[in-house]
Amino acid sequence: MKRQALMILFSLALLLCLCLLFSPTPMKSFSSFVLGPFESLYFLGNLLNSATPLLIGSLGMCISLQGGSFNLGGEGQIYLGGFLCAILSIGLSSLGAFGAVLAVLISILAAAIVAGLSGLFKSLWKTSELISSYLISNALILIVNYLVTGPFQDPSTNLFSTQKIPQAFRLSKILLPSNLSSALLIGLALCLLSWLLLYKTKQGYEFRLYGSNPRFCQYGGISPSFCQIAPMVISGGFYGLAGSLSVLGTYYSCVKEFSSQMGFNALAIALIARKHPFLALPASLFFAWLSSGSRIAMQRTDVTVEMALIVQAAVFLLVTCTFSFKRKKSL
Amino acid sequence: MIASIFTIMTPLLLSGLGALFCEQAGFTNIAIEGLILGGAFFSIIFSSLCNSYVLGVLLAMAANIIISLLMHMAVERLKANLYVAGLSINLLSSGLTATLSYALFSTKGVLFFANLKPIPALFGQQALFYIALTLLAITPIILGRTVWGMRLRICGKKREALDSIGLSSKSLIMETYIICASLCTLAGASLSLATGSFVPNMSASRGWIALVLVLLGGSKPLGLLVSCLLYSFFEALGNRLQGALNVPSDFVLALPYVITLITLITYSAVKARRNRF
Repeated sequence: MKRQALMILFSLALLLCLCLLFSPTPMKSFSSFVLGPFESLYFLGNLLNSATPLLIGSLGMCISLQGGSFNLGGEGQIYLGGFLCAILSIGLSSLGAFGAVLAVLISILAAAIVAGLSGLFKSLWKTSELISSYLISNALILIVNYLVTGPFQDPSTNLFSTQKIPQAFRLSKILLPSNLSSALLIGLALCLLSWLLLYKTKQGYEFRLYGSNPRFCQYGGISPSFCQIAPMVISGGFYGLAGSLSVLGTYYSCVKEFSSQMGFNALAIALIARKHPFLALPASLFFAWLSSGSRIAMQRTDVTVEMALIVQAAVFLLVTCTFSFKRKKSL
Repeated sequence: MIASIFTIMTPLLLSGLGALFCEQAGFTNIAIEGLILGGAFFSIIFSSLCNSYVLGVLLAMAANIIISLLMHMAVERLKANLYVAGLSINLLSSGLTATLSYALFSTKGVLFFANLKPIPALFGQQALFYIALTLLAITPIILGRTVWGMRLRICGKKREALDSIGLSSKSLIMETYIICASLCTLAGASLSLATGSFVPNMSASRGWIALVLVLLGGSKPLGLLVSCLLYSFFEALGNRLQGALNVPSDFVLALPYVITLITLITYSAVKARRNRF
């Protein structure tokens, strides 16, 4: 806990320095960055809403990292899930609520298969899943970009996005006037479920064991290929869900590159949370606060949103460090 | 076509060499993506300020080395996760270049520098292409014939062995970070100085591709050259096809990733099969 508090203090200090350096009105930028998201229900709800896909994605990453798999393809998996969900919702609109569930399930499945491929390559030929998932995801992003701006583009707008999904498919808003949708509740439920999976089931135990010592697992009769593929599939599924819920709850259509930075941020959150599902909740709130704070500061004063990236980078750099404040004993 | 292959190859070869030194020292440096971006940004800004390419690139190197040493300190001293620290450097450079660009030129878009003279060229290739080839040629000599290079390779194979005979692996690793940062600066400079402009995120995943190319080339200089040539050929071919066949540009952009992926999988499958027998 002391560690996390130090991290927040440090990032605030860094933010203040950046505002002093780059903003003509440093105090105003700093205060709207830090306090802006908590000023009104509207901003607070939007903060919670942008935390939701990050939370879901990072829960998947917690499971995958505990199983020793590094899924670096979140960006593309979120995008694919969101895109499939958007076009399927339009195609299945006659089926009603059942159609919505089907659309989400298919999106989850597709993203899970894409991530599972990297796991499969790892178990078959020891191909680094980190590199293969990243490459697949980058190719996917470009292909979906083509589909969103080409065949599936909404002809009635100039925006690069697909058609809007039908009213009946949209998740209800739970904190008007903000954008907060009921997807948050799904995220919270998943938080509990991932904890149960990791710490209360046999499979979760096998993942954790495999993540900490693969060879020991093999001696113990745990199938290595299961432990290489399953965590990737699960994290891919979570990313697919995060994408489809963003479409159903926030955007109502697949906007070009809506997933940009989401995958990396979800990964960062899982690492800050030290792979624990419960800690992923405050960590994703922290990240959502950084991004919504920077947006508010940009609207009100003369700073860029990218300033938040520098703070994020610093948090990233320090998050896995081990600090020992004791001085080394001299021999 | 050949000229465009070499143009595509220059930044990949330079940053690939940087990654190769890191691989030989026993770690995978994923920060090269961000270092290329930083190199592109700082080298053109300093060149424009000093009105000299050499001075500008040297100052950019200094900036990149400072950033790289931050990562070195986090990883080596504070035991941070190598990949997370690398990702943070990538985030830092895209944040820093955008923020500085906005603060200095009040735009986050493309930066043009009219005061720069065209970069010296020979047979249609910029000077950095020949520098890249020279560096590639001396890399096997450094790694195979000098004491420093041999120690570096020992460090990559077994770090404890180096420490156990009283040599410090710490300073060796730090020197590798510095070399990698300098090479990535050159790679970035070859992007921005060639056009006299800086485009946001102009590194465009070249760092990642370079990393994969190094792995494909078996972390050997000659292998790197072959994989770079192959990749650049396909990318140049893709650019040609786009004009000729009217293929959507997104597919052409995706082609390098797909080909790299297929090569990576084939390579690891062949290696796995060879290990079995």
